[in-house]
Amino acid sequence: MKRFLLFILMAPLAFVLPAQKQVADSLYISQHYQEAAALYEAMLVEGTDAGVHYNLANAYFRMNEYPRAVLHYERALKVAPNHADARYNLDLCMKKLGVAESYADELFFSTICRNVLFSLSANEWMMCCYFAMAVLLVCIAAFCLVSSVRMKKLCFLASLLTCIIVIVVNAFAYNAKEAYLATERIVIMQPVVVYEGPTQQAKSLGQLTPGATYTIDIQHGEDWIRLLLSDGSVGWCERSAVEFI
Amino acid sequence: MIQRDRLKFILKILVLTIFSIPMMAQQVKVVAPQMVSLDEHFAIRYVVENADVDGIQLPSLTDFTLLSGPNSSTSQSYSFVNGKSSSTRSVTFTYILQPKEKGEFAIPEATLRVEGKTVQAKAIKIQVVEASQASSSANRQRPSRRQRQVVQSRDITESDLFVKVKPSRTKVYEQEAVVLTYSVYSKLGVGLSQIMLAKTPDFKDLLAHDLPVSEADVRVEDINGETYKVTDCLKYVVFPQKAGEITVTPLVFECQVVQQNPAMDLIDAFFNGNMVSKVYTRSTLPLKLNVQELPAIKPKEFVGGVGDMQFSAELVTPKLRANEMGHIRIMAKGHGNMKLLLPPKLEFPADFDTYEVKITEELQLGMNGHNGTVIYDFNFVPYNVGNYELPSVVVAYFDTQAKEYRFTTLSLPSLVVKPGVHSASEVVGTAVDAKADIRTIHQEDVKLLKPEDVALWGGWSYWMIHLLMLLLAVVVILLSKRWIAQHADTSSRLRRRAGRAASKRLQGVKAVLEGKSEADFYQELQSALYAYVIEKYGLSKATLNKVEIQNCLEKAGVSSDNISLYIKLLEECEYACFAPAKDAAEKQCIYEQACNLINSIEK
Repeated sequence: MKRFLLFILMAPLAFVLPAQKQVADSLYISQHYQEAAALYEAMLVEGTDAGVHYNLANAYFRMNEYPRAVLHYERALKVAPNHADARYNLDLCMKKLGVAESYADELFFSTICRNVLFSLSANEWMMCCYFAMAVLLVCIAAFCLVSSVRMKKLCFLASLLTCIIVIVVNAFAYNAKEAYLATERIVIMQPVVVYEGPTQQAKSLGQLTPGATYTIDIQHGEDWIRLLLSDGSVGWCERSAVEFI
Repeated sequence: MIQRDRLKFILKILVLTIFSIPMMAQQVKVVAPQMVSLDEHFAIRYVVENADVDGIQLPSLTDFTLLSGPNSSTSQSYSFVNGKSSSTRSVTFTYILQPKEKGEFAIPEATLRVEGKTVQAKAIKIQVVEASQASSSANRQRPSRRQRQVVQSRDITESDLFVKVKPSRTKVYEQEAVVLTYSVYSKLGVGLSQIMLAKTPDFKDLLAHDLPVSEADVRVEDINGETYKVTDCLKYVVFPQKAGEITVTPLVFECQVVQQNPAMDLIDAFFNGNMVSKVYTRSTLPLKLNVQELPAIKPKEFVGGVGDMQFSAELVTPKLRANEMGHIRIMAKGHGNMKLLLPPKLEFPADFDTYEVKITEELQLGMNGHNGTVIYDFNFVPYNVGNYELPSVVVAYFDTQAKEYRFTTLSLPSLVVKPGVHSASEVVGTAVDAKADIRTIHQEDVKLLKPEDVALWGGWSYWMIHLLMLLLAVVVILLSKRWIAQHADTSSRLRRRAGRAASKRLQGVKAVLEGKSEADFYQELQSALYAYVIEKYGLSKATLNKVEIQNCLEKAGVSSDNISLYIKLLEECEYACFAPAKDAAEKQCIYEQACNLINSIEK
């Protein structure tokens, strides 16, 4: 009853955006996790933000809804791949659920590249691109304007170097954007059986644990999706049991 | 005893037959028992020999119940005796009757149409006596066996064959087991050969399980004076899933009945048998079950059990080491809706790792639901050493006999956890892991972005900004170039360069002074002085002479002292070719003078 009253009192404040998060945060701190989660979800309807996803995932974790917590940690990391707390909490959550991290579908980068890629968010990479381009233009301008041959040589080298840097940074920015836009990763929300084909009459290959993440490659109609399983094989499962990150 | 009665019966038949022969006006023979018991069925036969019979009619009987009839059968026999062949054929009409009361009754005359002529069969007297115990079952068996062979030749009506469903209880509780028995009622003489369900039953609001039926579930029942053979063909144990009035959907049966085909002619019938099977569809009437709700306040420990159950709990591993798998077993034994029980919830201490409960069912379906044991296995792993008090669990179920909820408290002994076989650090490590908690929320204000604004690379704004930067750079370069072109003329550049070049040359002169260079001091100095003036004022080497230098310096605004000094230095250098060598000190002095002079001109 008390909870309900508290929620009713807080509800009008929910319409003011900056205060909304504060309200939700204070609800979380006072351990009213369900109300906090509801408010966070309401905020996420307006737009996305890594911090809100992270807080929401924490709320779900407290409510022992681990698959949902995993989903929102992953969403937070999608927006801000360098969110260290979200990554730590996600690892903890997965350990609790007993699922291993699945990277069945890797971009063509190796782990080091992936770490570099995820050290900045997509928009942060874009700012790097702008900066690199600016430096390149300055070098080119200097090259054009200086008179001494020595300076000209120096500027030419600098321009060449900066050009390479611009290309590399743009590549990272492109991949960061692709990583954000990718809709191939899913989280299993309920125990579901995976079959050999997109029908329940096909041979069953096993059951998937909730909270595990998988990559899908094919969608069959509205109901069936094909997953890449951890041992390299593929299997079909019903779409209703999963959520896209 | 039974044998003697049988014998008696047969004798009676023979006597009647013998007596009835002379009494028959025509070739109609009447065969019937003289004495029957009250609960016995008996047959009357009218036999016609060597004639075609068109039909038979028996007037309605008031003292007997007609169970079956007329059923006709024909027989033919050939004999070849002493070279003479003879054949006889006979047609028999059989009626199955059941006496209504004790006493002596007469069967009225039957009318037959034999080869166009009407023939009367004589009336018969039959005595009905009390049912005798010893012979009752035997007699009952025998007539019914005979009757089973007699087949009706007319269409089977609803009253001849129907199916009834009977519940073991009409007033039940939600989830309580009810047995529905489906019985097929067939009048004696209906040759039921097969009973099948037309389609799989769909019991709404009921959880149904098929109960196997033993073959010997056949009995005889009397309904409204008619005798029926009852076969319990199907039994279901159902559990009502909701309270209120539930209507059991009628089941549709397909009954295959073997009948005599009257349309077949005798030759065909003889060779192929004149039995044909027809399928009749019968369905049960909808049955209403009154399902009572379980008493309103369901206790929170209610595990969904309705029936009669006992619960027990056991700590299978009372002594455990850290990081080893522990095992608690809870058993539910009894009958009722065992398959629908919910596993009890066990509260483990916070630092135990728990796993999903494993459910094993050892159940058999019976008259009062599922009968047997359901075993719940709880596995857990303790991380820390110590003595743990495992909290007791209360389970509640609804007892249908006592019509109330029954509670059982399952208490578990305390659990002793000893240090594990793993190293201490490993144990601590995993313990810390188990105690590890998520990091707390971030409380900064956030700015919600639209999903399309999260990654703007490669978008419209990105290329626009790049374009702008490029344009800016181009503009800056162009402007700068123009500015440089405008404000920096070559001569002033050269002039500045001249000063630097001069100082470089003077450095060379200094090197000569210091003995580092072999070149001639005066020549170097002279060339430096000349080069300076040429570079700074753009004079041409060809027309260079002291007068020009003087004029140039004057024009440039150099002070007259400096001009005269410059000229003097030049002359010194010239004369040095012819004059004797001066000593180092003098050279040094001249050098310094030159330096100072150029510096002052440069200023």
